[in-house]
Amino acid sequence: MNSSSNQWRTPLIIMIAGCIILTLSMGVRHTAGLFLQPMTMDHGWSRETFSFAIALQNLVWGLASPFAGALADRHGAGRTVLGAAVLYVIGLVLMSQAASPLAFDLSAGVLIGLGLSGTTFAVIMGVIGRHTTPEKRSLALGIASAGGSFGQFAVLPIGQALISAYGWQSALVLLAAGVGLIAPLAYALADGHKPAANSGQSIAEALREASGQRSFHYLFWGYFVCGFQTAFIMLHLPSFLVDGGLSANVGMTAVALIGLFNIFGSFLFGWAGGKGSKKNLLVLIYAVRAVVILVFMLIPLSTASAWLFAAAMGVLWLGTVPLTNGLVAQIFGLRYMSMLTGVVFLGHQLGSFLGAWLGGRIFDETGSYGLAWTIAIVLSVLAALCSWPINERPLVRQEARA
Amino acid sequence: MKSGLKNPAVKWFLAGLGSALSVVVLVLIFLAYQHPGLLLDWTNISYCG
Repeated sequence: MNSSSNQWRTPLIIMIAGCIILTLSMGVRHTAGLFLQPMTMDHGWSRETFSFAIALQNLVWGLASPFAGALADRHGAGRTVLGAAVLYVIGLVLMSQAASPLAFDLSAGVLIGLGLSGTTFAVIMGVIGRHTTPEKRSLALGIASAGGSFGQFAVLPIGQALISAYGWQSALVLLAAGVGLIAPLAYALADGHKPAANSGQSIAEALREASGQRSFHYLFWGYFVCGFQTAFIMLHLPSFLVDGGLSANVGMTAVALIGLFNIFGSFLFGWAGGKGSKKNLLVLIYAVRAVVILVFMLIPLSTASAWLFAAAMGVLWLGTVPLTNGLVAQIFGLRYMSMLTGVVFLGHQLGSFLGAWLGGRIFDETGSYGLAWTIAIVLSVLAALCSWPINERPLVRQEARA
Repeated sequence: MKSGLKNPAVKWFLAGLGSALSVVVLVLIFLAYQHPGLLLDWTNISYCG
């Protein structure tokens, strides 16, 4: 491929394509919960059968992200996104036809999980990061992150409308058609992989180097806390509000407010990360989350307090994404950015799994979410403390010194 | 006189129009969460996110 044929792939085009891919991928994934009731009723499955497949999807998504990132770093983001989009589409179509729990686990759990790993943050942020200047990188990652946030906010009611209008099976096929739009967009990301600076490292060397850096571990565990809190709050907040005497409408409005303010928060922290210290902003996000949750616990529960809490958490929701991914690029460079952000994202998904599961387990054991909220506060303080010592300076490698 | 997209007035107009349309879209989506026909089953969300 000669350079003139690549001229149309400007940073702006790549960012727009990445944004739309994240909107579609994150948005369709967010509709999974809508299919619980119709699918379990039609097939006579238990809710546990359904939720196990979705939990499996989250784990596969996290576990496969470093591999998807490594594929993108080695063979280019375009091919990786294209392959993952095909798996995503097949997963959705097979999910609509799944007649047994095993078939459902393989389609909704494994295939869609693999599809998500190649069409979401690790791969997309990597290619956007490679095509932007250091000054504009954080803002670009923030805009892309806002795209994913918009998808989560916008596709949920669309998914519900499709189920109401056409039934759940046709809705899944239509959503698969939507995900299929990722395939042509992947062409815009087929940049032949042009890292800004080839460090001459192998993948194993890059992994060894990162695992030997405390800052990488701090980023991993900070992201773990982010995943714990967001999964716990998104899954259990509506139930918590209803248990507190508020209506289901208040719960849904809270979910909508989180989605709405998340768009602005992702953009805001991406922009701020380009102006100041990213690790200080991470400290700020985790510290303010602890304060917001603590205040929410201390003041009497009301519609106003629930909506204010949701709006505040929405602003802080995915602001961690451009900052964490930006720090990986800043410290370790762009050569293996996708793989390393994939590893860090694994921490996020492990936290998500624990937050979703532990929230329910604690409620079943104690009859309240009190302990789970306390854990969320303590973890937030720990995340703020372990983000503080992150060394933001780029690594100086031996080859560079020689 | 500058024409088309090079004209600052046209740029500001398009930026304003885009912003206004974005706000309208966000408000419509937000309202979709309130509409009884589209009201999401919160128990589904609480299970799977």
